[in-house]
Amino acid sequence: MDDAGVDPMSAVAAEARRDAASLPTLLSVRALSKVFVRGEREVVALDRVSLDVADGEFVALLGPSGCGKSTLLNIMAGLADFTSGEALYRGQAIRGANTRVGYVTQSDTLLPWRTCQGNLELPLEIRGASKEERRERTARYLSMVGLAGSESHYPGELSGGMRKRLLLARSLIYDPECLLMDEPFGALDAQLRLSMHEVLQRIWMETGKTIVFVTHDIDEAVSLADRVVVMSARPGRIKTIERIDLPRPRDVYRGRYDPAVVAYQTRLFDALDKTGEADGPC
Amino acid sequence: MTGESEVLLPRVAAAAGGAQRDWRGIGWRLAAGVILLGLWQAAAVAVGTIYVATPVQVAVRLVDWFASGMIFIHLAATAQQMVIGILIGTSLGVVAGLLLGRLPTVAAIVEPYLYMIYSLPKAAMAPLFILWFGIGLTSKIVLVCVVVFFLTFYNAYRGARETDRQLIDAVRIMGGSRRDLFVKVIAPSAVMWVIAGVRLSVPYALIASVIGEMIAAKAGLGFLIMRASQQFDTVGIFAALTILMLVSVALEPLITLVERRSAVWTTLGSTR
Repeated sequence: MDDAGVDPMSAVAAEARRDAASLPTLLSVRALSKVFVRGEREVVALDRVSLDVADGEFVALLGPSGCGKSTLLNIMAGLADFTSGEALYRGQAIRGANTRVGYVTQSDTLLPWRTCQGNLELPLEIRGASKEERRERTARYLSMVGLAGSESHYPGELSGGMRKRLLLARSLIYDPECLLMDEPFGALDAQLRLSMHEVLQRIWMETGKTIVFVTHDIDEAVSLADRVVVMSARPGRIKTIERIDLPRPRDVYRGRYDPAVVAYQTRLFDALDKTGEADGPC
Repeated sequence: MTGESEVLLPRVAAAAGGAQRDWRGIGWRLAAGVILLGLWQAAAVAVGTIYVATPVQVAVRLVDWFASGMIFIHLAATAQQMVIGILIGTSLGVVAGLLLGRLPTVAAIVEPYLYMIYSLPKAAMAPLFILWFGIGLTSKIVLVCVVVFFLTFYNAYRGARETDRQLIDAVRIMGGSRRDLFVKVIAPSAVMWVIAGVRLSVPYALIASVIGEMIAAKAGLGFLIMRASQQFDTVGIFAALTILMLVSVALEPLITLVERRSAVWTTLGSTR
């Protein structure tokens, strides 16, 4: 708390709410805190974080390791609990796994004993889709991510990039209104990552889904997002929120050479810099 | 997709290269084999054939056994005991392991007792089973079954407990119910552990079978060894041991073959 009078936390929180005020809110966290005890120390993973994500928005959570961005995403997904505050999805408290979202993480959660087709069909099976619908949808989403023809291959036979695309397709195939992504392209080489940005941007523009995207890569955040939420570590807080007013569709490949883009990147870089060292894991 | 070099990895692991090297190696191996046989012959002569049969004697006996066909009766007996015991033991072990893996409270209660029985060398239970089930195949089948059960049970149990947390989370988000999770994620994931358990249990099944036969049986490799020993038929002992060794060696590639057929995806590269 700042003795001079203005509470920086509330200022940021107010801006978070103001930005999204014009559109209906899909996801909302209010004064969200998560504290856990490790050995004898108390670790504050999230410290009174407040954020509203509007319907159809593309929001990036940007920050160094340990700033709580993944924790925040997991709370939104209903996979993690929290100590105090609120987490709401369409105005209702998130309880248990949030089945209205799609969830893509860094790690490979494909089922190795199922083929690509089988993996894609899994969410549809769970939701009781008919055989025809399953077949039609898997074909459509496979070609959407450029994997047509790989139906009967097992994940073990695919390269890393192909598996990531399959994971993306799987998170989309049951048409969730919101997509939560935790550094999904982190392990890919630069060229492949850019092409995945292109795919993601196209899908977002065509479907109007809400996307919350966690990353530590400034270029990625500026390239994809409407708003970038910069977080600081230890304790995990929102430092600032930057609105990215670049026209769409954005050139994901050559964007980095555009002065307007560079200006945003520099601002975000400076914002990150001032939050202190990102030292070892918390 | 623009400018990507996608690689579809080969379905079968690349054949081992170095054929050139193997060919020269084979020459050396054969030479070493001949030398070993020579040493064996010398040892037999030196110590006396009552203790060590010569390679020639063993070869003659083996030819006799195969020609008369009597060896197949004994091979069949041992094999039958192993196969039936493995099938039953694995089935029971997998079911029990998967169930207890997902019922942690029941498992915690029962665990120490299971551990006690597991720690007991099964060979020591052979006389008990023979008392209960007679000297025919049944007692040996039960013995193999018990041995295999515990091995596959523990593997299935761990497999069910240690299913990748992230896989479970991912499927929960998709809307998977508890039943979905069990049937679609936990059980298949445990299959990997189960396969490892079955793999492990095959040589133990052979041991159990042979030991059971040595104690009391009407046929089998263990029976052959014991009968030869009681008749001071050293050649017979050596011949039976040779067959046993060949069977043990042949088991490994056989298991791999079955494994490959039944679960292609386990032989593929890592998915991480």
